[in-house]
Amino acid sequence: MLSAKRATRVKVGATLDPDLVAAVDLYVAGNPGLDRSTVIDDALRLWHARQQELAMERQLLEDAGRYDAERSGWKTVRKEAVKRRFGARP
Amino acid sequence: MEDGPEGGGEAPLRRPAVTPWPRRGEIWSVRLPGQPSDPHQPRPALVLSDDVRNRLADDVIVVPIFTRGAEGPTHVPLPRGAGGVKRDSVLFCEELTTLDRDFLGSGPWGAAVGSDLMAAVARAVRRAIGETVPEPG
Repeated sequence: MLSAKRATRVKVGATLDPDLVAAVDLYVAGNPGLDRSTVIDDALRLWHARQQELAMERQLLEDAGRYDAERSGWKTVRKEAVKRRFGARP
Repeated sequence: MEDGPEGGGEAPLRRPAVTPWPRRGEIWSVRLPGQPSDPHQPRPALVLSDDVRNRLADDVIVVPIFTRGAEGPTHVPLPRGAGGVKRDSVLFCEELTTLDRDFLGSGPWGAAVGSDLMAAVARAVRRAIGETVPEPG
């Protein structure tokens, strides 16, 4: 019987590098309880983490030095808020 | 044992004087209390904190709203009309901030934004704190 999590998964076909597939199979063979899907899930998570990191870099670089008036307004608000929250404490 | 001028053993809940209280998903103006002449304020912000906190605590968690911003994992576009904003804007979720309630000026600007947008903000905040969060398929 499929678990709820398993039931929401998607089956796809992909053409992969045979050496990488062999490496996956070798790893799966030495780790009972794992299968190709688990390893490919991990690989895709790492890929997505890297994509998110790159997108974050692009966002920060593109934003650097822009929206100065708005940023300065928010910085002032934040400074005052932090001063109140932490400034009076010993 | 009394531990305060009003007696009782527990510190009273601090209830802010500001009414009405902000609701999650609403947009409010943020300003520096006592400094109405600051040229940069007031600035709009989306209330992100839970409504129990918004009602009972003396502070709120908000996401700053900017008029423009780069596309990216921690920015969420806020279309004109959503929450009452008059122009397309951008939520800077990496700049999540906790503010005392008296930093809130006028509001709400309109009805609370939709649940899809709030979910997108929650994902962007999680990315801002280092989680890898894909957009739903």
